[in-house]
Amino acid sequence: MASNVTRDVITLKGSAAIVSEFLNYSVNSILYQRGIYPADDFTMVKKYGMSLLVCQQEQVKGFIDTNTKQIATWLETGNIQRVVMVIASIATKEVLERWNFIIESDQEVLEKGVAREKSDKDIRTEIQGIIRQIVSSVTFLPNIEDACTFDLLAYTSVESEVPANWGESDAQLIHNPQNVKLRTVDTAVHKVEAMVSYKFTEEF
Amino acid sequence: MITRSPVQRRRFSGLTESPAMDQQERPSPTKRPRVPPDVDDNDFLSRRALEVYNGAQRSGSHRMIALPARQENELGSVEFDDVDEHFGPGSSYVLDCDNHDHLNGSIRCTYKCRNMVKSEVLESLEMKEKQVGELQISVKSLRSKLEIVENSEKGLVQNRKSLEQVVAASGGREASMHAQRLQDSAKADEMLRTQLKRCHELQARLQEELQLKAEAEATARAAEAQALEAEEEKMKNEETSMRQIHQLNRELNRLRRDSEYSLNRLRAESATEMKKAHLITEEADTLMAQLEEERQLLAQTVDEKQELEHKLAEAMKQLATRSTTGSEADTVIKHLQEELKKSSADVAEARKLKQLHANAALLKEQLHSEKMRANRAEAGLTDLVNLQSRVNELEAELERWSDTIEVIPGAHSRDDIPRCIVELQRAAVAATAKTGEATAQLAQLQIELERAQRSKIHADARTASLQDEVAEAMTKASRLERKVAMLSTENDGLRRILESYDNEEAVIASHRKPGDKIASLATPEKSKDSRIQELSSALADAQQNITQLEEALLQSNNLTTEQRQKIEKFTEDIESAKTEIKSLDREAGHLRKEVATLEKMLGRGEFNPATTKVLHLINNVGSGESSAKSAAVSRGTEKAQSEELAALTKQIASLEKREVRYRQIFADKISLFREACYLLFGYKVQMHEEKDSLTQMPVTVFTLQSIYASSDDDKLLFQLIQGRMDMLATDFTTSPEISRQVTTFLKNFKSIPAFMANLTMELFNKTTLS
Repeated sequence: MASNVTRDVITLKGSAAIVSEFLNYSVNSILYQRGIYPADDFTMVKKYGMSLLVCQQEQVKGFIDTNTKQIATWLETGNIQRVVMVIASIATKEVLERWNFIIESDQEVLEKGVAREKSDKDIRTEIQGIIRQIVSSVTFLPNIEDACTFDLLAYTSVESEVPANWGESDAQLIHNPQNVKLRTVDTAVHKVEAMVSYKFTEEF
Repeated sequence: MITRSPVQRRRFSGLTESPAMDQQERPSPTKRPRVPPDVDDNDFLSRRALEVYNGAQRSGSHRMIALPARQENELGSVEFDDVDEHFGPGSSYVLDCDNHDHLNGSIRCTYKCRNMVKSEVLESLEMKEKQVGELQISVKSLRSKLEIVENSEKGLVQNRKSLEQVVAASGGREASMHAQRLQDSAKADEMLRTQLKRCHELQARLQEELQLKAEAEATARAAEAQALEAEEEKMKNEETSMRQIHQLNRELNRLRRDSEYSLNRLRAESATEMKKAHLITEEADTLMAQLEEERQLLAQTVDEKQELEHKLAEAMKQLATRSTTGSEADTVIKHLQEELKKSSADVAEARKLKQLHANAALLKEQLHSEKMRANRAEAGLTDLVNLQSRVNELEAELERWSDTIEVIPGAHSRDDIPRCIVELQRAAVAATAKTGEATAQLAQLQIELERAQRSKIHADARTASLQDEVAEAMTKASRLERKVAMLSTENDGLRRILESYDNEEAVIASHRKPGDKIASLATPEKSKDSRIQELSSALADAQQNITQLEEALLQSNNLTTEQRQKIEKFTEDIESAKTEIKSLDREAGHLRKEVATLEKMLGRGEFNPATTKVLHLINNVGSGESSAKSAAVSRGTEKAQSEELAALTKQIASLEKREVRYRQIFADKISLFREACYLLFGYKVQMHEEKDSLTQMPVTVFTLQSIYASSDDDKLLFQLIQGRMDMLATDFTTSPEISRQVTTFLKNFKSIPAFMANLTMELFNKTTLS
């Protein structure tokens, strides 16, 4: 019983770890689903009670890991507002898709260090819901025909320091986007609202 | 009958005044204390006066004796008991008025006594006449006074009239006030009705809003249900698409594996082919080497032949020169000629061998190519089978797809599915937006409802207060009515009093005679004073009443003005509330629009540079490019593979066709060649491979049967090992005839063709000549 009780308590650090891990897996799933990298580069991994595909290409893996580590530190300080995965064409440099993860941090937890309560199972089911939506989004998103690259943008507060190897970027907006809201994950400390906006074309 | 004396008459006339006098005594406060203590009621006085009057009427003329005393009493402000003092002890006027018989007796006694006291009476008469003169003077003065009093009475009457007018005016005012009150009450009623109407309207609005709310809720529920359905459908579609994607992925993987497998196989085949080619080239090299050797041999033999020819020439020369050496030379020549023949035969054989070798190399090459083609064709066939199975699977999948497409409404082809899903999602988004709007409307309606309820409560409170006020007004009105009734009763009393005065005056006027001097002593003045006092008091009362009524009127006016003000305030409040509601509605619309634009901006990912900055890893470029490159490479390889596969399948098809054709051609050619060989050389050649019993090496065995063979068992067996042809022993070759030839041709001269030719000739001779 005691273990159950302790497991349901969520601290700021724990929440940051959960959210950054979720972002890592989400980015990997998007990379696989949108065909940014060849399917041979991905291996199946069991996570959140489902099989997920994770990119094994060293460069990509390293890039995503460094990003998510930095995001975790920002999550702990509450300086991050949004993480955006931008998919852009290499040839035309045009942004085709923006996967938004809008993050809201609980100010009380940040200021006072209070712990919140939420069961792992609930969080897991929420994460499952979002990843399933990411997987199923292939059905309505337009086909990516060009060779594409991706980038991760972090919307941080102005006061936060810029770490080494990081630099300011433009928002890389889409001119006339079509927005589809996905579900949200709430760890009771951080609330992550997912949304995909993509370049809207009339004809299919 | 008794004749009345003037005094008596006067007394009588004075008697008639007594009730009035009694009544006149009532208002005067100065005489009040003289009334017996137990009788302080005005009514008592009037009653008593009436009794006295009645008694006088009943007693007829005797009353006139009784009354002067009373009059004196009245005039001189002396009590009834003081009569004895006034008239002296001898006067028998003081009588008991109630005893009639006794009175008659006393009158008779006075009549007897009159004659006796005549002189005295005359004296007293003179005195009385003097008194009468005085009294007449006094009467004159009194008359003048009376005139004054009458004037004053007239003035009083006028006053009374004016008072009556005032009363009437007050009554009119009262009536107008009443009417106003009624109007006010009617207005209040109307107000109440309007308020009630408003209440009803508000209730109706409330109900409408409730209905609207219920409808909005129902629509929200329906929208939610639709959204849920859409989501379910979406989930289903997602699942099916996921399944399909998985299946397709699996298939793709399988295809990739297959293609890899086929590629590997092709590579392996190419490797084997290369090996074979190497082998063949090696073989060709060895054959070339053999050829060169044979050429060398040929050259040697040619040289030998030339040498022999030279030798022959020399020998011939020698022969020519030495004719003596005949037989030896002949034998030598024969030898030489034989040798020459042999060598020429060898040369021919060598040429044949060369040709055969070239033909064999060609055939081998062709065979190899055919084998390769056959292998490829086999691989192609297996691929074909795989492809067919795949095609079947794909068809099944296609059927499934078509089934799913049939299930999805509005979709006619596979391309419609994403559109449908997008539409559904849009519909879901729209439904969520609608639900949001509906909830917003609901919230607004709830707010309005609350407002309406509040206003209703206010209105109820107002109506309650108004009802209270109306009730108060009603009570006040009833109070006023009661007051009016009191005033009217007072008026009536005053009128009655005035009437009684009038009557009295009329009576006085009718009964006034010049002789009644004593009776009319100052009575009108007193009565007028009392009347004036009464009237003034009544006037004061009336004025008081009027002031009271005016106060009440003012109060009611104030109340009505207050109510009006309140009503105006309420209406103003209601109007301001309405305008407020409208402005709030407008504000809500603006806010909604703003929210929509903000949501759009949020969706686009715009940010406030004052609070937010966008960061990213600088060294992303490499990974991106590499990813792109790898993607491009992978895509290129995939494309190349698929293209290769297509080309290979095409090639396979064409090769298969060609192979079939070649097979036919080769079969035809081989049969033709065999036929030709058979016809030309007279041997039917059959070839098969065996394994050497010792070395386990593959050995090609040739079975030859002559066209002239006597039986089918007469066969020759040859085996070819590493370019060396050996003959194998059979029953036929071990037979004595053949064995001799074998020894001469094969063992001595080692020539299979010579043996064959010899055998042919032998068998020919045997079959044809024998």
